[in-house]
Amino acid sequence: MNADDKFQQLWRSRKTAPAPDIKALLEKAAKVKGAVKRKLILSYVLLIATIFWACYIVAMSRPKMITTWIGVALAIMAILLYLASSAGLIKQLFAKGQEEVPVQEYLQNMLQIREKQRYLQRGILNAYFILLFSGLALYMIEYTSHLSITTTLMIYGAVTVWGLINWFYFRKKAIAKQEQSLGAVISKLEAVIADTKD
Amino acid sequence: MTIQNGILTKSPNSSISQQQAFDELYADYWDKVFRLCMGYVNDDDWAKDIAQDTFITVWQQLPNFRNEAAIGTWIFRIACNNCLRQLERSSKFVRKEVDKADEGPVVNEDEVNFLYQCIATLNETDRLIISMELEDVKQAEIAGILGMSESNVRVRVHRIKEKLTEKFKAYER
Repeated sequence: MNADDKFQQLWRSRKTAPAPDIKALLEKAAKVKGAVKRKLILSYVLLIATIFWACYIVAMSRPKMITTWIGVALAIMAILLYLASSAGLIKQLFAKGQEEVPVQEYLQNMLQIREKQRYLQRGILNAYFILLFSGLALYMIEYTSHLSITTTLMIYGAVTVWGLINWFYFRKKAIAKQEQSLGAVISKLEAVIADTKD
Repeated sequence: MTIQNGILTKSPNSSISQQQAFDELYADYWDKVFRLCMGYVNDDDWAKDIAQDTFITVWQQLPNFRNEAAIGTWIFRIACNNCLRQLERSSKFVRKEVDKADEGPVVNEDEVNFLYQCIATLNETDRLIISMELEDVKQAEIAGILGMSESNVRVRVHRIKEKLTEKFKAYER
């Protein structure tokens, strides 16, 4: 027997897993769809709950200065922005019929989605921090206005330090973590795309 | 919907015939798709998951299938894309198998497992090419599925087989 026939014979003698029952397979299809929907619904419920909570706090404390209102609005915008970007990506990731396109096109699509995700996450993460901290700084003006200058400076100093730690440590860490997983996927995709080119 | 010589013909009574056509495809292609996935990931459970995802897409997209390619080519294309989607999950798992096979001839493993392990040492594209070649998919179709030229596929099949032959010679020694 020549090598070709031998390989083919060996290849075909590999025991295959029994094909799952068709009914179970189709149920799985519905389940996957349902899981994605549930995840999206949960994010939106959490988002709405957070916004309601922020509005409740503001309504209870009845702020008089416009800066407090702007501050709360900025913080809400930060949360909205973060969730809207992730929801948009999830939708794009599960777009129908993508698996049917030629392999090269499919890989290019995956690469585009991941590059967009990298760009979006970085931009959104920066915008999230800036909005959140400027919102907080504005929100605090009203409540520190009747305090002494020293106390006000101390409070703002503490918030600034916290903000700087977030910006230079946690944000950087989040970007590095994302870069590690996303960067690896992107370079792997680029390598396979290059490999399929003649 | 009925399948004759790999061509799907549509009939007016679509929902019942779609189920029948799918049943037929599922029975004919499950083993082939599973082996292709095994060639790619070399892990039973993982391969089963990818094969299942492939048939879920086949079921969902069957009503839109336009006969632009033979149905088998279409299924293999979906399977290949699903395999490559695993790049997003983890590349470490596949590499683990690669390292194991690179250590040299495997003892206490039969030839079948050895073949699959050798295939796991290849890069992503080569794994798909050889899996389809061993599944008797025509080289022109492989080229169409992967978006490569036929001559490139032919050269690569030749190189892969040479590599496999060398590994088997060392294994048998």
